[in-house]
Amino acid sequence: MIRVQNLYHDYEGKGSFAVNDVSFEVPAGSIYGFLGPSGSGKSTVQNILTKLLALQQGTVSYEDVPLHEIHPSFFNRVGYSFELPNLYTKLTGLENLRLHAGLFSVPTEDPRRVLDMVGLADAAHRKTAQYSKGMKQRLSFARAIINQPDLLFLDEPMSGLDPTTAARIKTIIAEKRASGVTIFMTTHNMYTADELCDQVAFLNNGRIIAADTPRNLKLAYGEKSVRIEYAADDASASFRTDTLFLDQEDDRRRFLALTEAGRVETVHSQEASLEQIFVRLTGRGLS
Amino acid sequence: MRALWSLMSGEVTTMRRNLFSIIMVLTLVLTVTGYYLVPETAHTAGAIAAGVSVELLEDLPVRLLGERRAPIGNRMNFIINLIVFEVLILPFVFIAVNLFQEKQDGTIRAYRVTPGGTLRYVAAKVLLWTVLTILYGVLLLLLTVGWTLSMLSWAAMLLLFAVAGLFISGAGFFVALFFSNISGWFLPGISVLLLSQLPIVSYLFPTFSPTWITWFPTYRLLYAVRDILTVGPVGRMAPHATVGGALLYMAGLALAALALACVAADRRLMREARL
Repeated sequence: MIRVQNLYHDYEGKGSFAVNDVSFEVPAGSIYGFLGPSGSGKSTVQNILTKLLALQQGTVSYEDVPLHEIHPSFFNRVGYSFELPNLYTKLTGLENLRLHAGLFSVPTEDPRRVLDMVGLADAAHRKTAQYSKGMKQRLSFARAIINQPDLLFLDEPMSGLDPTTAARIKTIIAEKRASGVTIFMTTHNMYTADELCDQVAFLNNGRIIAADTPRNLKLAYGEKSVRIEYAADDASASFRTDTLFLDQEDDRRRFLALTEAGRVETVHSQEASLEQIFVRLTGRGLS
Repeated sequence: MRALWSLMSGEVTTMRRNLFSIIMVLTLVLTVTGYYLVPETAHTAGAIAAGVSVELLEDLPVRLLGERRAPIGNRMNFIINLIVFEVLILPFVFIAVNLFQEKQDGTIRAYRVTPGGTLRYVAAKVLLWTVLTILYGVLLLLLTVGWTLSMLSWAAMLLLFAVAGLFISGAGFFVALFFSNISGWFLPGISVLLLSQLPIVSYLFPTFSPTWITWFPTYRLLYAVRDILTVGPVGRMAPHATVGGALLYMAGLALAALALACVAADRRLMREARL
């Protein structure tokens, strides 16, 4: 479990906090998503958790061991996929993975197998300088899982990926969670967060403004209604639309009647999307 | 050990793709060619330095810097200078170029989220360039002076290459840490290299040997290499430059350079937020 309490970070030391009193817990074997626009402090938190940034104020602990007491060998258990893929551009994809795998003193994955998992088997012997942005992103992800980590940090893992590749990466992430890996992910993509995360936290101007499961957030901030399209009973139109509040007796009866008559063509629940909730809470969008 | 090997093999591949190997081979070929093109006659300055007749100068105050020896041939002087100012310059430049490549790629950031640590990172770079310095130096000697050296001289040269390689690589790495790219490094880096060549003046004109210049590592190296290649490692030709003394001096400097490189790397590479 990752536990963060009252975390602050000030880059310039002038009282302008990039991270301001952030507290949260990530249960083992779950995916925790940090959702927020660029500059909201997501990566800063992630960098503090991985010691890329110094811990200035607050506490961070892994399985109750404080961050400052963590031994370097702890990083045998950690994988990090960076938003800006930082790869050895003179080396091939396979050489990059081999080099990185050699840095760990624990059993590592077969680099060829990992390349195959992320769809880069064909580009294994190509220098990464020639990779596209999406390929670099996939290689960065492959590098993050090469040491079979049980703590995985993913910084915008779907950035620059086409839908097919993104789906492939999402499947791997879901499999990792199923095998007990704890995943901390930052993203400004609400769909990714909604699809993958067990819990999400909205971050704005360095502060967590809401945190819960995506379902609870949507229930809390959405409307309990359905929008239906149903066949019209007159010749003036082919279909009609209506919004029905199912916790109201009249609307519920009407919905049942239309359903039993076989006239309902489409039904859309009206819970808010994560992005809509974010906009409602902050007055600004995610991108 | 696995991490060290991994880092070193990655660096060798990067070096190969950066065409360093071609530069090294070309330099070696040019140096060896130059050696055989130089006429094998005594160099005037070398003669003065090592074997001038004291009687001819009896009216002048003379201070002998070492034992009187037979004049050293041009070719030998050529190779002595190149061993010090070519073999030992390569790691100073190349270790910096490789570091800038990593800074540009941002790979140090990824390295920091591994159990590697600063010491292993610095050790991998410095050891690799020390090994390459030794190999390059040995190859250069074999292609020029050949097997004419005694086993003791070979051992001394190997030791000298090792400690000097450690020092120059460590110092090169340390200097490069303060710059983010080759453009920024160029002027200060080349200035350090040019300054390090100042002892050539003392070597060619030994009457110019103020105490401060004798503290230059290259001064000690020049005389140590000359002694090993001419009279053997137990000979002594200059008061500040016995081979044993030079070895100890270089070993001390190497330790200091490595310690500085580790401390600076920890502060400038392993804690920097944006690297």
